[in-house]
Amino acid sequence: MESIFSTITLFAFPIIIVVFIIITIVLEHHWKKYSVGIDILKRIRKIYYRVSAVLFIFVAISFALSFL
Amino acid sequence: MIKLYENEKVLAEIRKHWFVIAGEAIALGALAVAPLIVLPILQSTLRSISSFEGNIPFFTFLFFYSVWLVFIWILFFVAWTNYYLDVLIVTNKRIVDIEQVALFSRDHVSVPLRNVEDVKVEIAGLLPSLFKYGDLHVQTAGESKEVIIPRINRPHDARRRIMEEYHKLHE
Repeated sequence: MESIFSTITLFAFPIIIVVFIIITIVLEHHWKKYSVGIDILKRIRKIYYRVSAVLFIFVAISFALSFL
Repeated sequence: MIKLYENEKVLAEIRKHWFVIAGEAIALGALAVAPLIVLPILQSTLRSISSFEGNIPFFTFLFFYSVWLVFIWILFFVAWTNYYLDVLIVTNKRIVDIEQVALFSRDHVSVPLRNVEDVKVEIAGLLPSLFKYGDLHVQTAGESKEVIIPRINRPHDARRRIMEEYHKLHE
């Protein structure tokens, strides 16, 4: 059972990184192309990237610890 | 956001009410906590109906839950982008309704002010009355006959703004 979890974990980690990068590129494209106001864009980017960074720290730590 | 004609000025940008994005945020919040409630129930059900005894290791669970939260977080920003880019622009020459249906689906209706025949506001229900949001119906002489912009913030103000410009144009 644990080996199944380990295999899924191993695949899920790069998948979530790729999905995040693709959607972030799409969102950035929309924000720039359709002129979201500069002040709002600054605030939105700050929130989006900071919270994402915190979440990815959790993802990375739990990924590493799940193999111990 | 739109290409303006000569001597055209943007007078107002009207968005949907914050209640629209708040509703989506609440739904996503519920989805975020759902695994914490569903998983223990699922495990105990599986134990009672089969010989399943294994627990998901704590850090494996934490990993999948973090991945789930990343998905929810991304979905929230997709929803916010759709909400923010959904806008009604009133200029001194026309009304432009931009409907961001999904991330790759965008609808764009432009109605010259001279074609506007009537502007109607529809506020139906308790929540729309409390939070002051509703549908704006712009009746036109053009092909599309009626343009409906749903759940916008303070539709009466939007109507007044459009009618002011309409009267200026016809003076």
